[in-house]
Amino acid sequence: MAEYIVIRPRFDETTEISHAFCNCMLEHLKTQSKFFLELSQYDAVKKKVEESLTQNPSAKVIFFNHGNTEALIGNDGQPVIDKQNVQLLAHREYIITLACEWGADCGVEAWRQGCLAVVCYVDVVAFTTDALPEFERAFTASFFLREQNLDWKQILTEVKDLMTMLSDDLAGAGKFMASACMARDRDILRIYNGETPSPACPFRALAVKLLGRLGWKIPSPAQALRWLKKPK
Amino acid sequence: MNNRELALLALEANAKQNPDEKIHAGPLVMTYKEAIEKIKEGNTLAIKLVLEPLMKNLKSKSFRAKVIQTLGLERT
Repeated sequence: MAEYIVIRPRFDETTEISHAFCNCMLEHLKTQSKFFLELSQYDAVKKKVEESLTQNPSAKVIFFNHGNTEALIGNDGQPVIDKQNVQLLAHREYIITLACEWGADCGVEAWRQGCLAVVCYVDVVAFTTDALPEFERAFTASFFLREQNLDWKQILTEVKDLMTMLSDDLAGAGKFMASACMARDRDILRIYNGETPSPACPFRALAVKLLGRLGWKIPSPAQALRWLKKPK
Repeated sequence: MNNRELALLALEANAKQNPDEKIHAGPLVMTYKEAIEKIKEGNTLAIKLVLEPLMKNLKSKSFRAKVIQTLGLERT
């Protein structure tokens, strides 16, 4: 069984770069002789992703491509992981993503469904091509720190510190936009497990305030509806 | 000089230094020059993803000082 599943579509200018950002992680896995499954380009579509996740229920997941609040997007521009199949991430050690906005909603759902750590961004991720090595280092840092067995709280702190340092260095080099993007990416990075998601819904916020983490266990209206509609 | 003006000057400096380099921000992929044009046209996404992060960074004294120094605006 694969220990890691690396999903990296490549179909436009941005994904050419995000695809390349993964190379250092794949090199590391090869060097460490770890068994991984790579779903690249045409393999990075819903059917193959679902098959791979089902066949490898404990594999850690790395996803580097576009996304939105509702879904991670595959090579065909269609969702590969959304609220209909996010339970496939349950009980995994982690999912590390670079997708825009996913952490604002579906990433929270992945954590609620039992994914042990969700590394994600709650808004649009930005980078500039005059600082690709710095962005690659920042975006893959959580993976490498986890490989060193750090806990997620430490990882969150270390990654944010790294991004602050990189942002300062870029400003020092006169790369002002790169520096601003790095700082913004740092501010929108979340690791659910290293921290608890902030609820957007006022009722959920009240439940979390009263019950702590347990407040997240109360089903949302959409979840309750799905449960009711499920054939018994 | 306010932060918006300074942010645009910083972006212009980056556009001059690196005319072929691009900003990738979600659905937007553009050169620095194109970003400046979009901001001046009032494109809300470009303002949110390019101008506002720069303006936010300009609240940091060290970042602001570096921009002012690079642009040679120490006396203004």
